[in-house]
Amino acid sequence: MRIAADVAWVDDERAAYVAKVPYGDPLVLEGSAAAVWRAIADGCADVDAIAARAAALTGADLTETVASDVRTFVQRLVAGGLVV
Amino acid sequence: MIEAEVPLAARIRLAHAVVDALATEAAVDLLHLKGPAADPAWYPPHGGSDVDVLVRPSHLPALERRLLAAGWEQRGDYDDSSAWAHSAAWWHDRWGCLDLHRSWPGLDTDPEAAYDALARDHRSTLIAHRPCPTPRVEAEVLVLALHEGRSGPHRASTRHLRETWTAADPSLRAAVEALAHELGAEVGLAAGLGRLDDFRDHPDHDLWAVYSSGDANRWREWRARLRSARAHGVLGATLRRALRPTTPDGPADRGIAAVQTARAWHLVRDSLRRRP
Repeated sequence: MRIAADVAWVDDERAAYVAKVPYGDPLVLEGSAAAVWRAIADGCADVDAIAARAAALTGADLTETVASDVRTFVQRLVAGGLVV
Repeated sequence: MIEAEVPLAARIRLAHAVVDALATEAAVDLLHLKGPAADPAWYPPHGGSDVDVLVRPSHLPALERRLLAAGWEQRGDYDDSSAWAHSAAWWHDRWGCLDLHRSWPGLDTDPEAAYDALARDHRSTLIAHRPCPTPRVEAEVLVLALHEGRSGPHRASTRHLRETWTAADPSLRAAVEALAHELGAEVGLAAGLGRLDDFRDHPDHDLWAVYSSGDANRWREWRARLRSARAHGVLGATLRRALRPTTPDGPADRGIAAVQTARAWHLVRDSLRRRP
């Protein structure tokens, strides 16, 4: 799992700003969404690794609920063509 | 995921990537310049407001068509950009302002050949994590020096460029000067580096003196433009620009335009009287 080649993104530490170029709308990923994005950018290749990394980045406990939320969010990123 | 306001600095970086992707789709050659495209050692990050790209002149129509199809709108004419008629402003409601350059002010050579020289051995710089073509270091320094040379004397970026130049490796400075010679850009380079007096007798001296001094006197600017234009054999085109009002929209603007036209006509007469 990795960020799609046609995605441009900027991380200013407050948020990650993400867009499929040249035609996509910019999206703002904040908080846990930004943590998931950073985990993928760091090279985490599967959902379990992404969840663990995102939990570590945000200081959250890696509960089943957190893992489930991460799985759902990653599925949305894939559906949007932002992650492949 | 939310669609929300993107801060300017992030939006400019994304917009560079958007324009680069459009150029790639259209098989258009371009170079990204200034802002996040520039080496911070020579051009420290600061609050820019637009995207600057230089397009291979023969590819310009293809990029313009692609921009229009993607929702961009041309907001300015090349003739209104400067004495060099070098760029046009484009706007996109989502991505903001693009300054689309068909040439770079201060390069006195065929624009297509100038593009080839600037793009030779170009680098790739990540902007918004997209690899974007940017000039090799000596071409970038020349581009930045020419930009500072027409941007007034008090900018922090001008001081930074001159200090960096002084401390730079002599071989790099020699490479920049050689490129400036190749492209007929010695006067502009001198203006950017604060040594314009070395070219006091050059027909372009007054033009660069106007811009590098920050003197906003339009009368002085047009006199300098006409002197330069006469030396370059483009006096007719420059006179036509001098006579063309730029903001003839409302009644007040029409009044301003009339004054502009009258002043321009005085310049024309003055120029013709002084013509050798």
